[in-house]
Amino acid sequence: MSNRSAPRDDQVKNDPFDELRRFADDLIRAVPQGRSEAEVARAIRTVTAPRRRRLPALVAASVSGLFVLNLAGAAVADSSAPGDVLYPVDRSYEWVSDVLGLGGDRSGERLEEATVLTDRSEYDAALELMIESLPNSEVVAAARAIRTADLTGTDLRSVVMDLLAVARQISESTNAADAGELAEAEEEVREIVTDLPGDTAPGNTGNTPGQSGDTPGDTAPGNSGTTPGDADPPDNSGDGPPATAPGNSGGNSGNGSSGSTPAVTSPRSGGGNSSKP
Amino acid sequence: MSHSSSESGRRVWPPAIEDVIAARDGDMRAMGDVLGAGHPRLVAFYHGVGLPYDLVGEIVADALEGMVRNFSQLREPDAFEGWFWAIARNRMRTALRRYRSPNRPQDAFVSPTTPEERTILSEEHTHIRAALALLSARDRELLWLREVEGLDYEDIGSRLGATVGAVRVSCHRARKRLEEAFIRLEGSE
Repeated sequence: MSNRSAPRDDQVKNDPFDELRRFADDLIRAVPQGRSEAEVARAIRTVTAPRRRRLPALVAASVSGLFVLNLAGAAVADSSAPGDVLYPVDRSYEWVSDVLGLGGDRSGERLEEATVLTDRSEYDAALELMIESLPNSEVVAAARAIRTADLTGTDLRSVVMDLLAVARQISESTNAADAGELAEAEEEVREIVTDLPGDTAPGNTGNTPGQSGDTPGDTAPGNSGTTPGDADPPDNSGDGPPATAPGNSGGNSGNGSSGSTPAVTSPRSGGGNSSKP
Repeated sequence: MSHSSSESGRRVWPPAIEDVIAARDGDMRAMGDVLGAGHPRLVAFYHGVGLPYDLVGEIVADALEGMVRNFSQLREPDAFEGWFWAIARNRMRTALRRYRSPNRPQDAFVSPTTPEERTILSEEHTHIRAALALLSARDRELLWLREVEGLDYEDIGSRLGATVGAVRVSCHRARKRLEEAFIRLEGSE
């Protein structure tokens, strides 16, 4: 090597350029040939096999990009309601998360969607959504009953919104495992059904429209209950809890409402007064 | 073109034109031989112009990769040396831009780890190293390419956009400054 301290014979003193060239020659000779070969081989490998090196980075970037796009898509689609372009996407994401075991109770989301549909006056779609996707059988039965009832316009809207409100209570009670609250809410659902016009309540034995409420004795306390048939004034409708539970035959709430104003009441909303004008 | 050549085994510099052509045409063995011969000269150049030890290995690897990547674009095999040093200098400038003190020669004592680092620190070259350290980085670079590698003025200037005359003047001044520094150091001893 070139770790020499003594001047060489051929060294020309006081010539900086010769000194410079000797310095350079010593440096060049000091580099082992094996190291040169190894470094050049490494450079050739690095340049001639770029795809293999870049592939993992490319795959990682693609996966990350897809992941971000997925998250963004899921976030955007999450707020969609039936009928929206993104709604199928939202449901697909839910299906995937259910399959992966990441899904939970989606009653709340379905109820939100049903509320959006109700706001759009798409009552049938809202009821259909509740029937398809809500787990509580009382709510499902009530939704079915409302669909078959002879209701339109504001009456239908009012009933659907009442059912949605109670369904929300049921969902919350179920999540909170509050049996008392749940029972109360289910009772309210049954009231909604029994207050429907016509023969729609589960278990009714065949009262025809106009017959319901014909029996004054069936009316709840506080209900005037004296006016049979269609003559109930609006502010009387739905007064008090129904005297009969679903399944009782004959005479529902005694409202006598035959379709004009379905009495949708809530026992906790004002002592049994009608929630509807 | 080249005034200096060294041969050690297959390390022939400058390489034969047939090897350069073969390397340009994709012969990896020829490319290994050609660049393998150039590798120690790259190492010496970067150390000689005063780059920090820890930077030399990185720039050498970067320059070699640049040469491998661009070898197929070498139009004139005769101009191989000019092309080789142009890449070497460009890579050095890129690295120096990232480095905070480009003009700082590596004079601080660092424990040598490679044979060439031990050569740099040997007593025999103390004088010329001290004289080089008094010059600017540009002067050291010009002197190395002209006096050690033997490049002509055109090769030195063409890829920098400098005219032959400007390079000649710069080299002349750099030589003068080296002589002055060398004499001054001798006088101070």
